Amino acid sequence: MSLSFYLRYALRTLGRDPQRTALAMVCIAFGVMSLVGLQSVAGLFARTVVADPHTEVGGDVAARRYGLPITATQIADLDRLKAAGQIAVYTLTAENPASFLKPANSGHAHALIGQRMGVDPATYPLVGRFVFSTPTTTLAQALATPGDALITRDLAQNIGLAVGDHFSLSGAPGTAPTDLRVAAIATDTPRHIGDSVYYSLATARRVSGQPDVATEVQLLLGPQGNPTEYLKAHSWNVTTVAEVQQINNGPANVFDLMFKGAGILGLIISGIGVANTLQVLFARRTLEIAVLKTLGYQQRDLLALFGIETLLLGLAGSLLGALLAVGLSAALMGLFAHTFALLVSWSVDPGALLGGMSAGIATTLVFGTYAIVRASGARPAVLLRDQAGRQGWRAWLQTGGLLLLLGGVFTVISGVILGSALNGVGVVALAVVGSLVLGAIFGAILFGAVRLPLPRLRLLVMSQRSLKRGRGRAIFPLIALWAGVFTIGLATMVISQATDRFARHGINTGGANLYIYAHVDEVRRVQAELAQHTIPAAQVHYAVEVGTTAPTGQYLPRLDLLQGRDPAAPLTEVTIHSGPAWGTARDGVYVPQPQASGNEDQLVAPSGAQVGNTLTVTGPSGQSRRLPVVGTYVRVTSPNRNPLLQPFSGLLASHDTALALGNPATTAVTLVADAPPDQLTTLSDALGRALPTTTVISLADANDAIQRIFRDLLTLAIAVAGLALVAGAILIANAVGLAMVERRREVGILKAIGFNSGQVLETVLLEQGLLGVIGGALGMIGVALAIVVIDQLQPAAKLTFDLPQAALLTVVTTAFAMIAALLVAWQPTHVRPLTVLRED
Amino acid sequence: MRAGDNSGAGAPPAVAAVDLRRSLPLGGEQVEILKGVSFTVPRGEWVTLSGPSGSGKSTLLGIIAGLDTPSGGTIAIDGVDITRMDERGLARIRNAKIGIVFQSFNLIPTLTAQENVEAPLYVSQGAHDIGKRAAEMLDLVGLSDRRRHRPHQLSGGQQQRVAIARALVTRPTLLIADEPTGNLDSATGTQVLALIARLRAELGLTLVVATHDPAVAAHADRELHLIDGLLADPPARVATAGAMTLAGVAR
Repeated sequence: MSLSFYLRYALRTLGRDPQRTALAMVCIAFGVMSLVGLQSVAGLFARTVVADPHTEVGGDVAARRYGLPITATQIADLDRLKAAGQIAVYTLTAENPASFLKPANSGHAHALIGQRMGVDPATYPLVGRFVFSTPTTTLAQALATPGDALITRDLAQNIGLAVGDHFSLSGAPGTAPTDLRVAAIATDTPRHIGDSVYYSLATARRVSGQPDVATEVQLLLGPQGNPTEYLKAHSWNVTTVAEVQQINNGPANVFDLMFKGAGILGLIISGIGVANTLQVLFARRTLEIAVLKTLGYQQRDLLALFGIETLLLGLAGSLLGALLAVGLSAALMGLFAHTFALLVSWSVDPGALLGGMSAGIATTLVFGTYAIVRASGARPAVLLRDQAGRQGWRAWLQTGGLLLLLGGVFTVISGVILGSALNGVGVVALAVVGSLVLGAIFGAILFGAVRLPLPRLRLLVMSQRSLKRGRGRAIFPLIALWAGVFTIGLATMVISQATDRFARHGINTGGANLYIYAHVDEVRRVQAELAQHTIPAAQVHYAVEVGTTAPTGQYLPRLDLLQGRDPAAPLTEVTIHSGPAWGTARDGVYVPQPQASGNEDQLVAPSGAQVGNTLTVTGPSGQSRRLPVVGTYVRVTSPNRNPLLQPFSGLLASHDTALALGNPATTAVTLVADAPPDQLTTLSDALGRALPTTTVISLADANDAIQRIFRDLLTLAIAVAGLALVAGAILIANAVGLAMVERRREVGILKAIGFNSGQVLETVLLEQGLLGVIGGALGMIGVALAIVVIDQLQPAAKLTFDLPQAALLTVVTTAFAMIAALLVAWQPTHVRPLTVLRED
Repeated sequence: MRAGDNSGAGAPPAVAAVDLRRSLPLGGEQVEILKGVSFTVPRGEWVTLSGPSGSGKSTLLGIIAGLDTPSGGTIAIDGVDITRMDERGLARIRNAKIGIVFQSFNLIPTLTAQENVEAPLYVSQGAHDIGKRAAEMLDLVGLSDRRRHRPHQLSGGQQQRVAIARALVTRPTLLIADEPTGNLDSATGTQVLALIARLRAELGLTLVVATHDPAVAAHADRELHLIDGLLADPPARVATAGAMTLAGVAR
C-alpha cells in the first residue's frame, strides 16, 4: 500500500464530483459550526450568567439588613468580627434602584438593566476585577472625587458618553436624581455585567444626604471561624457561596447541556448528511470498487482507501466549519452579550476550534464507516452481472452490530464534549429516540400527505410521486424544517405579541404617560413648564425611604417606602380596600392588602402589619413617627404597566406625612402627567431639555426600552432557532443532490421523451416546495398547539395564534426549501440527455 | 518480461474445471446457469469461450477469474484450488495469477493511465519499482506517450490497451478477457487483438477470452462453446482473411 497513491486517489475522487463533495463538506461544516458556536455560547453563559458563585456573591458571604441601610454600629460590629479573625476583609456597597440614566445634554433617558451602585473604592471588589479602557486607571483613582462615576463600555458606546460628561440617575421612588460625572470607562466588571454605573460611597452619601447608605456587605472569611450564624442571629440576611452554588447548579447544568446538546444534535445532523452522501457516492462507484477487487484489492485495502477519502472530507469540512464557527460564535456571543448587557470580549478559542474540528472529523468517520464498510464489501461479481446482493440474517446481524458499535463510539464522543458519560448517553439516546418517534410521526404524515388528491397539474403530480418514492429520505429534512419553523414561529409569536401589547398600551391608551423625577423644591417649576406645553397639572407623588417596625419591634422590610399622595385628590394607582375613605384619615397609613392570586401586578405578600397596629416609621431625616394603620389598599392594574416604572408599594400616607419624614434637602418627587399620546416623544424631549436637573420619562421611552429588549430576545431566539432551519436547508440540499445522482438516468430519459431542463427543474422544485409546505404547516400546527397549552397553563399570557404570520413563515420556509433545492438541482437538470444515457 | 516458464512438462494446467455448477436466484426461483461444466486449459493455450446470450459465458468467466464462486464442482488455477477460497485468498490469486480485461475497459476515471496501471502493484506482495514497472508495461502496449492522460482523454482502443497493461503488470499467468473488442470499431478491435496475440507470444500467457465475435474465436487454439449452461460442439466457422492474418501475427 502506498499512502501517496491512496491520498492522490482520494483527492482526485473528491475533486471529480465537486458538488457532492461540497454537499458532504457543508454537512460536516454545519455540525462543527453548530457545535463550536453553541459551545462558545455555553461557555459565555458559564462565565457570566451563572458565574463563579464567589463572583456572584462578591466574596464568601454577602449580607444585607432587610432593606435598611447598614449603620455605623453594624460596621463596628463587622470590624470587631474582622479583628477576631472571622472576617478577613469586607467591603460595603450601596445599591441604587434608579433605572434611568439621562445625559446632561439630552432630553432623553436611557433605561438601565445593569448594576447601579456605590462602592468603597479602597476595598471593592473582593472577587473579580475591573478592566478600564485606560490601562493605568484604578478604581480608587476613578472614584476619588465625590460625584465621579465609572460607567461600562457598552453604556458609553450606546449613549455616547465620554470621560468628563455629566449625567443623572433616577427612576426609583424616594430617590432623587443623582448627578454624576463620567470619570472612567470600564471594559469589564467583576461580574461582567454591562449597562452599569459605579460611584463611591462618599458620592452616595452626598447624594442622599445620609451618613448610612450601604445596603450590603461582602466579605471574605477569616481563619478564625465563620461569622454567618452570628450575622443571621443579628438580623442580617445572609447569602453564602454554597447557597448560590446550589441555586446556580441547576440552570448552569441545564444551559450547558442545552447548548452543547444542541451542538451535538447539529453534529448528528451533519453525520446523517455525511452518511447519506457517502452511501450514494459509494453506491455510484460500485463498478470502480469491483474493478479494484478484480485487481486484487482486499476489503482492508478499500477500507483504508475510503477511510482516507472520508478523513480528507472530514478534515476539509471541519476546516470550513471552524471558519464558519468563528463567524457564528462571534455573532451569537455579540447577540447574547447585547441582549443580556454582558461585558464579554469575543476571541477565537483555538482549543474550542480544534476540539470542534476533531469532533467533526470523528463524526465524519463514525457516520461514514457504515457506508465505507458496505462499499468495501461489494462483490466483484457485479462486474459480470447486475445482481443485488441478498441480505441474509448474518448480514443483518453484522449491520446491526456495526451500527451499535458506531453508536457507542459517537456516544463516547458526545460524553467527551459534554464532560459526562451520562449526559453523552442521554443526548445520543434522546437523538435516537427523538429520531425514531419523530421519524415515525413524520413518516406517517408524509405517507398520508403524498397520497392527498392534488390538482392534476402534470408536474405537480410527478413531484408528488417523486416525493412518495423517496419518502424515507425526506423525513430528516422534514424534521429539521419542522423544528426550525416551530421554534422560530413560537418565539416570533410570543415575543412579537408581548411587544405589540406594550406598544398598544403605552401609546394608544393615554392617561398617565409622563413621569418627571425631581427634587421636591422643583415641583413648581415643573408644573409651570407643563403648563407652557398645555399639559394639565401633574399629580405629585412623594416617596420617602423609611424603616418601619411593628408594635412588637419587628422590622417590616416590605414597608420600607412611604408614598405620600394628596389627600384632596383621588387616588389613581391604588384603591382603598378597607378602612376609611381616602383623605378622611390624614394622620394614618394604609398598608397593602395581601393578595395570593391574580396576575403578576396584583400579587402582594403580607406586609406584617395589620389594621389597628401602630407602626414606628423612621425617615431619612432621622425623625421617627408613630403612625396608626387605618386601612388597606390594592393596586389598580394599569394598562400602562411597564416593568421599568416601579409599581406602587409600601405605606400609603398623606403627602404631609411624607414631607415630615423626608429629608428636605433630598426628598424626591415624581410628577405624573397626562400628555397627548401622539406628542409624547417630542414633549418628553422638550421637557427634558427645559428641566435639565430632572429626568423626564415618557411611557413611550420606557416602552421603547422594553421593546428593544424584546427585539434583542427575538433576534437571539431566531438566530439560535435559525440553525435548525439551516440544518433543514442543508439536509434538503443533501437529499436533492443525492436524488439527482440517483435519478441521473431518469433525468436523461425525461429529456429524451421531450422534457426540457426547466420542466425537470420545476418537478424537483415542486417536490421540495411540497416538503417545505408540509414542514411549515406542521411547524405552525405545533405552534398553535403550544399556544393552546401555554394559554391553559398561563391564562394571563393571552397569546393568540397569528394566522397571517404563520402563513408568512410557511411561505418563507417553502421558499427556503425551494432555493436550497434550486442551488443543487440546477446543474444536474441541465445535463445533456445523450451524456447521461451514454453513461449506462 | 516473461511470466515464467509456461511450458514445463508435468506442470498443472492453467485452468482446471470439474463439473462446475452455478445457480442464481431469479424471480424468486433458483435458476441453474451452469449445469456441470468440465474442461482444462493447458498453460500457454488460447481458448475462446463462445455461446449465445444467457448461455452462461460470463458466469463461467467470473468463476475462472475468481470473481464468483461455483455452487458445485471445483475450479483450479495453476494447480491451486480456488473453489472454496476465502475473499482474501481470491484477491491474492487475482492479483498474482490472473489478469482481467473487460469489454467496457473499466479504467478508474480519476487516475491517469500510469496510475491505473500502477494500481494493482500497490496491493501486490513484495512489489517494488512500481512506477518503473507500470511505465514499462505502458511502453509494451505502445502508450508511453499517454501516461499522464486520464481515461476520458484516451480513445477506446487506447483505453483498452491501458486495461491490458493493467491486467498484465503483476505478471499473471492467465489473462481473462470478456468481449475485449466488443466496444471497439473493427479496425481498433483488430489492433487490440494483435496486441493481445503479441503479448501472449512475448509473455507466454494463457488466454481465456469470452466472445461473440467469430473473428476473435478464429484465432484461438480451441473454442469452448456453451449452450444453456453446458459445453457443446462449437459451430463450424468460416475463416476470414483478417482472422487468418491475425492468427499469423499471433503465431
